[in-house]
Amino acid sequence: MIEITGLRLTRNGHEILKLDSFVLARGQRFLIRGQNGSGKSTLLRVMAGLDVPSQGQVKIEAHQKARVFVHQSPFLFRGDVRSNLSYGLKAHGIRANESQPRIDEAVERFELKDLLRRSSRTLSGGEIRRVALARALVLRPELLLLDEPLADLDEARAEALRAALDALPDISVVIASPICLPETWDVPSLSL
Amino acid sequence: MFADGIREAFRLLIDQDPVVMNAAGRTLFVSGSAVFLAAMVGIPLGTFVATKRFVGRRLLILLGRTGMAFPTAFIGILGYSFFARGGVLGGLELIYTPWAIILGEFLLALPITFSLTQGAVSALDPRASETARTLGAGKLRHALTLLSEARTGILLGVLTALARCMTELGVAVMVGGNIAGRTRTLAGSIVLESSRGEYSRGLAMGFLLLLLSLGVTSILVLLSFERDREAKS
Repeated sequence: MIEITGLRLTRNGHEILKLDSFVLARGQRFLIRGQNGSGKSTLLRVMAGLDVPSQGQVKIEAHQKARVFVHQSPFLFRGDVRSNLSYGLKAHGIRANESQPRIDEAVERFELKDLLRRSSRTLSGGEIRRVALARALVLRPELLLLDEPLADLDEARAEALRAALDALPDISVVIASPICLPETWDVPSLSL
Repeated sequence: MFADGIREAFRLLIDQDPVVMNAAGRTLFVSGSAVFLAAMVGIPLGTFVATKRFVGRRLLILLGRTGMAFPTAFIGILGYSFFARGGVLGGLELIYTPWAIILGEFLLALPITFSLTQGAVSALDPRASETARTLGAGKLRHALTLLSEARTGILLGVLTALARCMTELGVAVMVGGNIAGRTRTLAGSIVLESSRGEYSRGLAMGFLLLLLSLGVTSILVLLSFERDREAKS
């Protein structure tokens, strides 16, 4: 799915990311660990196609539209939670009869039923993250890139995310986090 | 005289004086049309300049900002030189018609709709654009999403342009000719009535113009509050 060799990214003369080699198979889940400023988020942004490396090769099988990146601090569009959940589905041209069951499933899994009509501007940090994760998962992308997805989530919600990912075994997932994931996640990791 | 002006204003409004209503209607028509055209050009152009990098971009932004401060008399004389007989566009016979005023006010409004759109879209959180892209938005949906996110600032630009066009005098008089029943706007009427010594009537027209401007400005203020609230959230 992903093959990276000799990756370097410099900004204003400073090297902010250095990764000699990285391989991820289809359906595999991987944790990128590292302290603040180690380049975890930048690596995910490169994989998402949002940043361009200065050097090296990045081969990703998934088309740009089949990769979804969830920011460390996710952004929700104006409007209510329902319109945010359906945004990507509409952008991908997925019809209502196919998208509605996906939304219903995500709403139940991330306990969003009471938030559906709420304005995105009135949500708490944890609620924003749950909506952003649900919005990404309903798309069933080939590659899902999650930047510190467990921040703002309590134990039960973190477990719900793991269960949601387990229910979609074909999706490759790369997670950036400064800390280890709970033991139940059981994913290989790499330190930057 | 001031009190007379207020009394006269109320009388003209209550009686729906045809001259005043005609000038008010024309003011709204020419200014509304000019701003509509300026929004149709300025909003897409502002969004394009805010989201793309190209040679001459900064110059375009500088020209837009400078254009916001164009003296209306300068646009008026520029328009006159184009539309007058013997001018480059003289053959179109637009001089002293409402269309000439619309085109002149379009030039006044365009830098405002362009610059305020460019500013509003540039000031958006970069995650808005990235999130739209990563969720699969194509070019059109991406642009529409940014416009939706920046809509308060953009609407503020449109209303600012409308307020400027409604109250301007230079274009209306120079290319419109201030002709009764054809090209006379409220601002032109104020000048004419004052020059004829009809100060009360001039003041009445002024109060009416003030009333229209107050309506637009009230919406501007409400939108500013909304934008401030968004910025804090």
